[in-house]
Amino acid sequence: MLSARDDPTTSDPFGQLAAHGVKRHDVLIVGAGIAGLRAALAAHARGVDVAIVSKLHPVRSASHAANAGILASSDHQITLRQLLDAGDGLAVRESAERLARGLAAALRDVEQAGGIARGPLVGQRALHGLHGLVVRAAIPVYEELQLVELSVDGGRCSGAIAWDVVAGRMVGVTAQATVIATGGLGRVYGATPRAATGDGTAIAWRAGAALRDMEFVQFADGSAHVHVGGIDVDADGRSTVLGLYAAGEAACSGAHGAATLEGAPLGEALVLGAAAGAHAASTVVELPGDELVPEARVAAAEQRILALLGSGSGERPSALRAELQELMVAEVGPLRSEAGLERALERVQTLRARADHLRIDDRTRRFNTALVGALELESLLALAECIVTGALAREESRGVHRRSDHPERDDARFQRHALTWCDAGQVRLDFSAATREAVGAR
Amino acid sequence: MKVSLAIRRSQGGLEARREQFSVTVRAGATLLDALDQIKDARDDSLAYRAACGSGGCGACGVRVDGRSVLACETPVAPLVDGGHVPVVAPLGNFPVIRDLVVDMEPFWAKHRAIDPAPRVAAGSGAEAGAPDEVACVLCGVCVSECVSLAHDPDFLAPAALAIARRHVADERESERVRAGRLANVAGEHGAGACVACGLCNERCPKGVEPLWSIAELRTLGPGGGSGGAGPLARVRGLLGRGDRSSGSKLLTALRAPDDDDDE
Repeated sequence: MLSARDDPTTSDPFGQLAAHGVKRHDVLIVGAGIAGLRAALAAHARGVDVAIVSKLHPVRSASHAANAGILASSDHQITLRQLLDAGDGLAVRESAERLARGLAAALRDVEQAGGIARGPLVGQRALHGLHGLVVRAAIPVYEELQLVELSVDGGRCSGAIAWDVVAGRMVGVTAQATVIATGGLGRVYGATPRAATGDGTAIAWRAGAALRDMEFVQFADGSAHVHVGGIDVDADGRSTVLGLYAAGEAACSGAHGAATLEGAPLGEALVLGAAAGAHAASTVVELPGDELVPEARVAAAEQRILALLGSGSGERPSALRAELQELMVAEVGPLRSEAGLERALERVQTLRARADHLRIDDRTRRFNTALVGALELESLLALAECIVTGALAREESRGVHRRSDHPERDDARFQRHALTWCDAGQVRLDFSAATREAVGAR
Repeated sequence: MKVSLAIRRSQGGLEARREQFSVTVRAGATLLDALDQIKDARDDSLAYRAACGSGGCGACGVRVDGRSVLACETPVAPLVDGGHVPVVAPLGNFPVIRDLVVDMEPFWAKHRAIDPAPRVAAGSGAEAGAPDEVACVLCGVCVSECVSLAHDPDFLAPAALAIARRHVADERESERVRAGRLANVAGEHGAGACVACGLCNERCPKGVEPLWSIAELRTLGPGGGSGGAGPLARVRGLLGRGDRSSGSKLLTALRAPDDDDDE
């Protein structure tokens, strides 16, 4: 039972692509954890052509470890109040309300797929069940494709460019709407799962999307547990870039504010995943676009990647990654200070500069995981700088962001969202106008 | 602690060679830690899969001295006891893509073929209980070990059959759906093709015992257990779930003189 992908002479692993061919779908989901699978099913239910690109087979996704369960909600008003309280003044009411109202239906969906609300293997059962439904719906999943770029022109996203790790080549996927559901970034801190490198968040940022409240990282037992911040989206998963959506841990809808309630992240992966998938599908109908991912752009991305192979004189990505992780744990953990954050910022910026010269000895295209490690490192370093920049600017303690030198919450200055933009590769941070909608009880 | 591993390396399964690496790892290191150390410090071209690093995702299956394991859950110290240099190879019964990376597509094709999600109406409530098979992480360790699959590449194999049994046991599904599922696994390459070597039970890193799932499918299947449900069901009665006995013990039990009573 050899598959086409096993034959090293096959240049076309999907049987449908020409060299640098660009595949076309209505909606593209990047990431195949619980949020991505839920988004795909929601888009599919609206009758559009949806496909998934994921660096892992769906059942390998980090969602399997989401074992805090799904937040129970018998009364959505009570749940809303709990979310706003946990959010410590930074929760976005509309997003929190959508989450609270959506939890009951989300649980029904998961149970239908063979999942449970709480107990052993909550994440795994939901993940495997949703994957089973994606199988039944015959939604194409392009596995082991590492996201490299989003194609954004004139403020509109027209799809993605990804490196096919197995075949060792670049592919483009044109889509009128793209949903980033690539999960968290715990690897910035060396936490497991090792696949949680925040690729989609970093690449959306580079493509012009705003990130929100990146400094809010929730720790448990001393390691990074949940990233509260992420790609800035509304309650429908819409980012600041037209045609680009996000859901799950990669996204920040504001539903959690400054800290997550137990069971809320998995709940939101389902609720926001479904909302983003549905809205993305409606965009296809209401805002048809004819922009394609340009073939030349796919070829250029491939050239950039191939230039990394066998590049001799720099440092190994794994060494830089280890240095970054040690730094982030030491200086940007649960309790932060101005002095430590300033040291961290300088060192992260130095690491980013050093990462311009990486050493990859492996010259093979096929299943080159050193190359994947280099791509992931690029994301980790950019996200680390966003986190440190936000943590330094937020001179207060709120939710999971604690500053030893600013132990109090400061609503006058910081009841605002930190928005991080990419300015020619550099991190630019603005605070939003004061949030009026989110006055949580103290 | 110093660790030496002999790793089977190849491009596309062609011209495999063994390459020995020695690295220093921390006390308590896993086989995956040792592979990471080799990749980071010795040779970045070593290819293997890993995603979670904590036994939950099923990505890092390999064989050590012929035995299939999850690398992230396997302590390396006992493997190198007394200066032994273990051979690390890709999973068996799979085509090799590169080094320790195998092409899982034949495995996923079988997983897809058993319709791996409940067929129930919205609002049916939760699946009752927690069938043993929900622990399966689809790592392919059982499939790597499977004697029947080595003889019949089209055999659905233990992982897919275990998942099929889980859904057959889902009381929310209708009788018609259940009959369809049983018919789907009753063919020439289905549950009846299992020779009951028992290695799947013995090697599953998650304590799923696919052989018992297969025995149950054979008992419930069309024809009321044709294809050898009898002996299997009897062995299951003798050993029961939770007794992860060796394949040889199972085969001995299957060959016991009172076999005649069963068919």
